[in-house]
Amino acid sequence: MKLSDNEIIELHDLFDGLVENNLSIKEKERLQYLLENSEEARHFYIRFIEMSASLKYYADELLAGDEEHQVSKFPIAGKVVGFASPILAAAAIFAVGFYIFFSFDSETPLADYTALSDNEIVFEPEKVITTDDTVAVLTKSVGVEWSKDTGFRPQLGTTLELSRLQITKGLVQLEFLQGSTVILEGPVDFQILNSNEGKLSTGKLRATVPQVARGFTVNLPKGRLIDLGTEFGLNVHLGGSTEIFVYKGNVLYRGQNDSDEEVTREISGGEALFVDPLGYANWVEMPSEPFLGTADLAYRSKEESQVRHAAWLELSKELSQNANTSLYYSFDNQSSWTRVLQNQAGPQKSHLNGAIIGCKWSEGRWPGKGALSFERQNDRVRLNFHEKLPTVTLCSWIKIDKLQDNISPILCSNNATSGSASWYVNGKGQVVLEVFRGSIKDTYQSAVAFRKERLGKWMHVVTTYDLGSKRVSHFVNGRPFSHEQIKGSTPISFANSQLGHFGKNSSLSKDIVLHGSVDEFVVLNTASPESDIRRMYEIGCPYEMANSLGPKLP
Amino acid sequence: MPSSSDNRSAELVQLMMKYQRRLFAYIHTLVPSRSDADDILQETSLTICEKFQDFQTGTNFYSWACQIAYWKVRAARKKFAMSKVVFNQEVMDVISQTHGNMEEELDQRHYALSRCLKKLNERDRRMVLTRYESGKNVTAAAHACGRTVQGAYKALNRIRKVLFDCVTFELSTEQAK
Repeated sequence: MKLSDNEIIELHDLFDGLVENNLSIKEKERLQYLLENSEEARHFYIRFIEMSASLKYYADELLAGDEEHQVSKFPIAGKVVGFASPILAAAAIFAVGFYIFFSFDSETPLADYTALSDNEIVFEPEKVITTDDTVAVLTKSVGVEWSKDTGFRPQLGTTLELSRLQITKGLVQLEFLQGSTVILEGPVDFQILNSNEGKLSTGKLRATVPQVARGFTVNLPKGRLIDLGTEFGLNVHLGGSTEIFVYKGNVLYRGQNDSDEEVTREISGGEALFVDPLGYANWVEMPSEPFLGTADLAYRSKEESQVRHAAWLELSKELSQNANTSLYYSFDNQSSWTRVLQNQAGPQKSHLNGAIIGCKWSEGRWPGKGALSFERQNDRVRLNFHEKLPTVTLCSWIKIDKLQDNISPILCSNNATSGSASWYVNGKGQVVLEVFRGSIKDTYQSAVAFRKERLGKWMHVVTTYDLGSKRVSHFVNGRPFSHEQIKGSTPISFANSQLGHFGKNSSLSKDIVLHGSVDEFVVLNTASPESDIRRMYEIGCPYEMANSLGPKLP
Repeated sequence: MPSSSDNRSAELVQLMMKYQRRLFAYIHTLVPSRSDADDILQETSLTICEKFQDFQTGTNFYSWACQIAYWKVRAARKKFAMSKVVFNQEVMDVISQTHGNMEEELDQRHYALSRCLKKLNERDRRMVLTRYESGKNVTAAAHACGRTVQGAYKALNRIRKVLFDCVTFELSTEQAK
């Protein structure tokens, strides 16, 4: 059956409807008829659907920020370039030939497209699960030092109820549920009174109030400021005097002076008011120094994130070159299409490459840093780490989104032979190393490390197993968490094992997948001392150290 | 010295890496829903790992993997029975057969597409790539490009036509050389 021009146009529309899943039953029948009876239609169809698959490939590649695509058997003179990246070089062991330089001109607007996905580390309030008591969310923080007097040290992304924030240094951004955004600069003492009201006792504050949050109120030592839809800055000095700067729109100041007189001023954009410690108000010039704004905070936040990422890259290089590193997955510089997890350590690196099954590439601890997300029943990375180790350090950065009833697997062997080991977090949130000793299963578990508030956050988990000292130690976020005596003298092995998955052939009778992400995994053939583990944590931590080392740390 | 099982693991990884994209494309032609095709690919990958000891080195891995994928699609037909876009068995069989004869052409079309994408204007390129990002849909593409959802459907239809014609033209130019 030869297709007519009209049939070709018709087929195009049918294919289009097919990929968008909006064909009617009648259209589907028509498509089936054409495909069954015309070889030309089938060729057309296969070309069209293959284009769809290729578009997915290129879209995911671009999303991963890659500029080079692996190509084999495609002779395009002048466009074929050699590869220099060491990461790609590892992949070249497998690749047949060349890499094509696939890049859109950096000056074309597609660069903007990439930039859209290049977000800084922030928490989006709409993605945060809130309770009825929540009135705000801490969405950014830069260089924060909490006051020694305060026990309340919320972390990035924490939902806030009525609370008091006392900061000696640094910046935080709060997003009130009513819609206002507030940046506080330390030293500052600020109380959240409700979803549209706060109290500034000392320090600097800048607020952006959309129309929807009109009426946002800040209580001050001698009065209160009521917003009428605007952007304003406040500076409350230690002595009690207050400066009010209005950048856009209008605000209303209402207070009382020392003579019990009511003081009311409406302040418009470009105007500034000074209220002295006795409550008397005077108009003043707007300061030439700009008050800190959202853009500055975003810039400083991003800058700090980049500094942290750069420091980690150095550590990553060090780990990959360390003679004691037996296995190292940095999850970095891998394209979203890649189904091979590159091992970066040891003389025979490629033998320990992992085969990615199901899991999706996602963003790790920093923008641009890769991670693998495990979600679906079959998601896993298969590897065969057959070496038997009398001494070992297992380290990983993981983010658990949901604790399973029984197990959140990190690395688990599918074997049940002597020495076969599994490393996971159990349903109570304890880190567990399980080792077969003959037919006996020895279990070494920490105290509870993963509490509710730690879910959805990157955590550094380390376990050392040392037959020399006969000790198993667990570390969470750089701190020792528990020590146990080793039973027996069996070296451990992760032969036939899976990352993020507990196989039904192991000590359990069903498959269990980690509900979360992994963005770094290291196996060292020594028992790392606490100082080294602490260093790995400090360099790799994506959050403010002051935040994550609050009093609740395990 | 790595053991023979290590060599087999490395071989598996190498082959998976090389053929994963093509395998997905093959499955996608039998299962037009992208998310369903993703699921089948996952199932197929798992079986490939489990059955790899049966694969004879030196024979055609892609054909072997496609056979596994084909049976996975057949097995999943019941699951997809409610889908609007599932084909009947006869159609699936003839598509699979035709696909087997087009491997080389399809590879060339894949690479030609990268050149054609570069020729699109920025807004269209952003629109189509956003649409095809994992987890994104037409609504997301519409938002990314400031169009209405209805407008995005029309634009995507047009862009696919342009790309398809461009790829066909690129190939004919290559062949003419």
